[in-house]
Amino acid sequence: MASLDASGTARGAGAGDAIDAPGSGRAGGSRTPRRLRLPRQPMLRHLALAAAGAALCYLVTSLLSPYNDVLAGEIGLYVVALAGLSVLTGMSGQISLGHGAFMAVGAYTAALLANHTGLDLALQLLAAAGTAAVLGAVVGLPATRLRGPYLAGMTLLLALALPPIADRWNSLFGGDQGLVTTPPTAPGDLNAQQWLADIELWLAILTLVVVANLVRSRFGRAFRAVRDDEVAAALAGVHVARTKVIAFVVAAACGGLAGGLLGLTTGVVSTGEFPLTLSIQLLAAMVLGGAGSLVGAWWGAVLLVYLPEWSSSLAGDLQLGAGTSAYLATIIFGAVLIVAMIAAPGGIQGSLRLCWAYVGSRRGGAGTGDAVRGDAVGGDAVRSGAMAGGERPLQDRAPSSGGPAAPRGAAGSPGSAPNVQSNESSNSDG
Amino acid sequence: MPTASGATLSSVGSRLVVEDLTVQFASLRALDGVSLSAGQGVVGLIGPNGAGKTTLFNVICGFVRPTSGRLSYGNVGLGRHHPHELSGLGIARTLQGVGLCKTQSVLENVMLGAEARARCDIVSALLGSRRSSREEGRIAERARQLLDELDVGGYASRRAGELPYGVQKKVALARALIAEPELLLLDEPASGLSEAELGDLAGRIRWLGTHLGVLLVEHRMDLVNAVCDRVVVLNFGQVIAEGTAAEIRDNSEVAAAYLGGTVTAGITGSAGITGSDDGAGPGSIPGPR
Repeated sequence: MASLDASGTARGAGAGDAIDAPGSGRAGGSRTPRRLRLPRQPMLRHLALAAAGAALCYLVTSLLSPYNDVLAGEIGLYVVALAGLSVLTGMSGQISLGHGAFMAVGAYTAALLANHTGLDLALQLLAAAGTAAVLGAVVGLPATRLRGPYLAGMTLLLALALPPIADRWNSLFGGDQGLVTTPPTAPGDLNAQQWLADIELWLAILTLVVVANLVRSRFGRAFRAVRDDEVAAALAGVHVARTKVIAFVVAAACGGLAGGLLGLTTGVVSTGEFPLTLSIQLLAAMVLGGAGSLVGAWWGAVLLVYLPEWSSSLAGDLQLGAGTSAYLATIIFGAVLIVAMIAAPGGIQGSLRLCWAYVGSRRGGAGTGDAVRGDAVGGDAVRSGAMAGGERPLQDRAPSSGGPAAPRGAAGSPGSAPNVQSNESSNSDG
Repeated sequence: MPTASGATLSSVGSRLVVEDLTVQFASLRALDGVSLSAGQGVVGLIGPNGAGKTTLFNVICGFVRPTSGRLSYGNVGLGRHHPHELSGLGIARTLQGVGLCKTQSVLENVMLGAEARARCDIVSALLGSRRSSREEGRIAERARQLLDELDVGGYASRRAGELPYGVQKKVALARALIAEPELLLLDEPASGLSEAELGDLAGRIRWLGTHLGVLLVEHRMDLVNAVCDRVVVLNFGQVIAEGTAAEIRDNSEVAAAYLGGTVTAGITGSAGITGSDDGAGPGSIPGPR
């Protein structure tokens, strides 16, 4: 799963992949089958990992009770939603308080299609993601001109404004009662809960693979550049507005897919399923899991699903009243968020990575050794570069942009000679 | 002396031509009928603070719209373009600070500069296709190559924000160069550099000037004197002088603009590097041979 981590992009997409690719076929033939090796081509490697993950999910859900299967499935759908939010807010730096609205759009789309057309489940979910993606593009366009609190305000408005639409046209959307959904029929002797959980977890893995591909590509690089410095990104050739809209579309599609799955899980799609608190909890869970990290989406989803479970059982143990216990999950969530933002701004995944780096440096000194070596190499290079005056290192660069090197190089020397001459004359003057 | 640089400049295909450019901000006329051109070779753009140098750069880059006047690069008209289109046209710019993503690795920062040359579409990116990963591999390889050439290859996997300022500046230069520009706009590349780093930089700028066009905004006259084939002086939004570095140094109007019109010694007083290093120390600007 580590290869899905967003932060390792530069290393993951390094030159090694491209250099190794042409020779890998030949090497594969002569390789002795000593131990299991993952394919070197990134797509194959991801697919292999995803297949292993899917099999593991199937195994786990078959061992769990139906109730826990439902919870496991919810984790899956929240992973989908949080992966999208992580791209939008964590990577491209656009805060969204309206992610629940995308989920609502996806849920209603899937439910309407199921009730009126009897479309296949896969197509329902595809349409859910697609409709939400279109909304994402519509919302993303004005969002390219907004930043920080203004963008938060706009997306907040989205979360507030969408549910009343469902109430207004209640003959179509079912009003408060909502639309009833039918869970997919399980093949063979699987129970319905396990089958749905499997679908949700598999889709979570599929989403993560696709999003990880995107994050490792030039689009992911553009996301991070736009987040860090829009002016510098634009000068580097990044179309800032388009990049922001792409992030919105990807996030919305993920939200729509998650919403479609949520509708199947709860059995009913109503406005009450998508309150403002859902959007805020999604944002908080994304930050707690680790903003901008796809592995962090798993941590966030686990928190989103189990924190209410734990807090309600805690409320039961403490024999709190019904009123208090209803808010306990929110209170705990808020408290954990505050503590986490002070103690571990990188979220769970960020903290784990720090621990990992610390353990690695303690064990063999490998991590720090590398860093020190890098320093020394860099330092040496800088010194020798300064000594040689910088003419030497660039000289062997292929003049791919400047045309034929020799005549211009020759022309350059006399061109700069008078300046140096005049320097010396000014030197003697002063 | 002007013939040497003139011959060099005439051999390049695309030129940046600015004609009668005026930029009006409310009651302030930031640029007033500025004309200049830059092709191959190093053109220095100097002037006191507020003279309009950065405004001119911002117009070229598409951040500021000109009020009147013409602007073209090769046969492409500029002035209504967006900043991100610039690197596709073959113009790259480094920023006055460093403009790097501090939390990202040096390699990733440099790779970002190849954005205008990247061809991978969103579908193959989402699918993680071989095409996408190969292109990424090529870009990464080119980025490492450039970092090596700038003597900072050892920092490739380090976070940009934790590196010394001089290294960050080189990373920013590598990011501009990976776009394979024909015209390089350098906005105060010498600010914050040590004397040794300055000598290194001068050699590199001069080398770059033999292969592509360089338009250099700089306050340090020692660097300007050492690298520029031609110098354009701006003051209050107008071009007040143009010529070789030596001609500019002896121009009394330029001296007046810088020093308030009272001192006639010229601006050579600021050329500290030539005085301190005497052309022999390890940090000196290298000679032509």
